Amino acid sequence: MNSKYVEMIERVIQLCDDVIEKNVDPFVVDIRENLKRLRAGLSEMDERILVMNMAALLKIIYVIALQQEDVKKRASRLYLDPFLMEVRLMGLSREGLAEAFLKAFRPIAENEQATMGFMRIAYSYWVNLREYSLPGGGETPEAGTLNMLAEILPMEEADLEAEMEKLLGEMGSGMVDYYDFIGRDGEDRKVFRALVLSFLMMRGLAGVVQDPLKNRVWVYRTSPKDVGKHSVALSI
Amino acid sequence: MEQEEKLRSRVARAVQLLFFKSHRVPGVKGWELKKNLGPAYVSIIKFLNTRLQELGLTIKIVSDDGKELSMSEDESKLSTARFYVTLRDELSLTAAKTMGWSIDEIAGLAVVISTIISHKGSAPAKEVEEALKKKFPGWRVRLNLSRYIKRGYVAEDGSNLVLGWRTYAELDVEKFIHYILSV
Repeated sequence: MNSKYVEMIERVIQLCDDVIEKNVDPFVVDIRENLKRLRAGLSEMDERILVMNMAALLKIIYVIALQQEDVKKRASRLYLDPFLMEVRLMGLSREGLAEAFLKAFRPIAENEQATMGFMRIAYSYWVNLREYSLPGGGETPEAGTLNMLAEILPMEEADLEAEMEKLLGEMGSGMVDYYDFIGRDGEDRKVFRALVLSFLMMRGLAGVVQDPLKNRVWVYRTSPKDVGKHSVALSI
Repeated sequence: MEQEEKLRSRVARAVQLLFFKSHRVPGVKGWELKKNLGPAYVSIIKFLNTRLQELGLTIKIVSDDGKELSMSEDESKLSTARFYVTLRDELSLTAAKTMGWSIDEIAGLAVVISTIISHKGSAPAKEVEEALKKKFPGWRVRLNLSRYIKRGYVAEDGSNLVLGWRTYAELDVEKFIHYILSV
């Protein structure tokens, strides 16, 4: 009887320790049942078991205190079941949620200013920025630009001029679909024709119209004075 | 007359400290106010508060653990607490929009804060994302969450999300939950 009773006391102590140390729900301990078990062996107790019994009783008292704390928390307004909250949130419109939030919301009045911290961040951002330059929009490409092109594509400047003339001739007087136009000579020359067309645009000899809703782009022949100076990115 | 001028300059200094951000986080700690305004800083703050209230603003004191403190609180508590100037009255949806908020952003923040509170103050980030995804597209969920974290409304705690310093400073959490449940 004694060994079984000791084993039972140890189990009660272990269970209470788990609840106390591992932050487990304190209601997993059945207080009434455990007290009944502890009381059962009272008549046959020696001194050692009595001490163990007292230790188990103390642990149970601690668990009761945790249960009381938990009940208090649940009873307060701030305790909400996650599932119930989710259901509640799903039932609210965005406007309803926003209005509930704004009723309890008092934003801080603050003024951003340049502090040493911000200056340090700005400086390191500037230092880490890559060097960047754009060719002058709307102006005739300079010799240097053409040299760069010659490095990419093996051709003479005169050939490029001839190619630009050719494309202008193909363009005619109306609007031409951009993708049809650059793809006319097949996939091999598509990138090259797009590049030559971009030079025509830079010289103001070709214009571009975009319809973002239909995702369509047209190009047309124009004269330099009609073209505004802005850059357009077109995919190939 | 000299006393008056002294008070005026201290109030002006308090305004500078409270309104102009000198750290990453706005507001100013009690000990900083004491250092700049002297031992009677609470009286100066009280005086400034009465003037600010006429303008629809108020001074809010929040302790390190997110509790709102009153000006009559113990000196030791006030010195480590942060003092902020906040709006005194409720904001309308239109006014919030003019301050750069969109309805989606506010509603999203309401969902995030409610979810965290319902998880006893610390909710798994995945669960918060899932809750948001029921009302908003995925790309907006990620964008908004990173915005809330950056502004200090929410903070990351491992794989969980907890309420950030700004939520404690700007939101009456108890009232908010009451409104959410009673809308």
